[in-house]
Amino acid sequence: MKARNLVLLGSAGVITLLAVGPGTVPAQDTVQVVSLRTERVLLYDKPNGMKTGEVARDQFKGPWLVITTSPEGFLQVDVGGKTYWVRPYAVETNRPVRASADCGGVVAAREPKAGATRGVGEECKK
Amino acid sequence: MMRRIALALAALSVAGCAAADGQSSGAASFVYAIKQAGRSLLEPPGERKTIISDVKPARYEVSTLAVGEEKDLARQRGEALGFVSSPALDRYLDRIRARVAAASGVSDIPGRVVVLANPAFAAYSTPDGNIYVAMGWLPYLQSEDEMAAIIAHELSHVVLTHHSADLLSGFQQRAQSIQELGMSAKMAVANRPPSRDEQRALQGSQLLTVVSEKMIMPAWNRRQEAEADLLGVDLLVRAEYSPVAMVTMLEKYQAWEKQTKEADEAFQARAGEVMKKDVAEGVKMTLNRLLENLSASHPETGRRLSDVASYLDRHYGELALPEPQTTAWSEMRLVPEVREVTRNYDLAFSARKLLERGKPSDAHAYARDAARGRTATDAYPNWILAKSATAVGRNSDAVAALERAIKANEPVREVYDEMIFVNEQQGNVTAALAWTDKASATFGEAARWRPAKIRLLRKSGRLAEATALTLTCTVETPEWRRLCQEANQTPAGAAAR
Repeated sequence: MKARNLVLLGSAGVITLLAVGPGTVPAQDTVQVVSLRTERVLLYDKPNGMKTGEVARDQFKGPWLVITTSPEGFLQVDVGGKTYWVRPYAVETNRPVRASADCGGVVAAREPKAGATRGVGEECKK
Repeated sequence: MMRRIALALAALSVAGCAAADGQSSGAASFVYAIKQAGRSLLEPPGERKTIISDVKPARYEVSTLAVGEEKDLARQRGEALGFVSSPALDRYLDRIRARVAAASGVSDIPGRVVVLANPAFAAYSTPDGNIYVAMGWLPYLQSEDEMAAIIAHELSHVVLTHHSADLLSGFQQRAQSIQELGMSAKMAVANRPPSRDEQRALQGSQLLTVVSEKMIMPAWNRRQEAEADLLGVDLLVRAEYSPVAMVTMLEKYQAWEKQTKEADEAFQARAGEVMKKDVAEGVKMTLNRLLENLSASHPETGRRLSDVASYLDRHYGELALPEPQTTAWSEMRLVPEVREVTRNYDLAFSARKLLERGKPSDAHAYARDAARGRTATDAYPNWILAKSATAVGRNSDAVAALERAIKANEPVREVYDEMIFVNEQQGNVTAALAWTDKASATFGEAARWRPAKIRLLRKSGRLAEATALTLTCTVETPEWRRLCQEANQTPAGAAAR
């Protein structure tokens, strides 16, 4: 079972611990926090739990191993040998994101817009 | 001829002014649009307070750019590859929309959610409140919350009346069109070329429009996108969805964007090659790309992600995060109707790709499966089936599929384009003209078919009608004016053989 597939079960803080240590996880499967998106990232004792510390963006020294993810999306991370939980939006990980929008099918990409529109994303670039 | 144009122009100008004077809410929107443009130069959105705190609970005021919900739907049908017909999916998405809309505090927001038969990652909204989501998203979203994030972003544009920006842009384009026409008419009446001052005035106006369209308006639009992201977060929180979904949705979009970056890098390599052979052409290509990048209507996605994260941290840092609703989303996708319809459209998209790659037999096999069951009479799968059947020499199958595509409840623009093209190629200009009218009527009187109609009118020798339509096109729909004017230059009387 891979680390990222383990989830926190219940809100009582019962953590399913890893059977394998970080060092035994193949490099390509290791999920890490690679940067901080917010100026400071709060560290919690459990998902939606108590704050136990914080790390400023400019103090971030190298990747944090992501041990597991809670159902709410909190990430359990290893920071200098200690484990904490962080809010998922506050950090950027190297977790691969599946997205295979097929631009090839967009043969009718919208031309000069006749109607006024606002969108989440732009059309496939040709 | 030009005297007639001058008179018609004068009449149109008067009519235009009368209409504008009669619409006080239009003027108010215009003033609002200008104020909003000014704001974009000030502080970033959501810095000191939430965006929702500026949204007053009230009844929604319909945009002056709205054309009517049904007409808007018809026009958007003509813009893409048609709509995916799945009542179960539509009901589910409308429930999400209603939940998000209720969270805004604004009542009676018009519109509905429509799934586009489009394999890309795209979504947009219109002044009529309709939200269009490409079906390319469906297999990649992992929870109802992520779909709610897309809907919340789009609904935010509607609630914040962002479409008013297009009022300003449309006004400017129209003013330039009228100036150009006015100058042409003046030259014709005076029977002389434009003076240097007149030429300079026109060039100044054209430059102003380019600067506005390519730099100022996009900057404003980027701010609007940021506002929609942030209000979307507010709406997700209020609707008790996980606001983290706005981030995960944008991460998916970012991943998709990275794939298109390869195309951009290929472009740079190509520009480099061109530069070696033809410096002027290479510089032109690079400048065009620079202008294209400057005019991007959306901020860079990494920046959007940081902005959303900071906003969440700033205003919702103490919020207990709820679990995203993955079960409801999975269950919806497993509804037999939804599963069959999405699968069949995926097959149709694959068939099209195979056809483009020169594999007609494989394409035909996929297309036959695509046009079965619940999508047996849908336009898009039948359209692809007709194309692939033609490619493998099954002409009677192709005709039957084409007939089903034409009669389908959800029409597809390409069917009409093809009918116009085939009839024109065969010299049947009258029939081709009739198809331009049918297309226009089917797709909400959209201007898209005006250039073809102008070309065909000229081929039929109906030059006065072609010129009149060109004038209407130029004044009413400046975004089509170049194509309309070019169409009005095509050789006349070619069909009189």
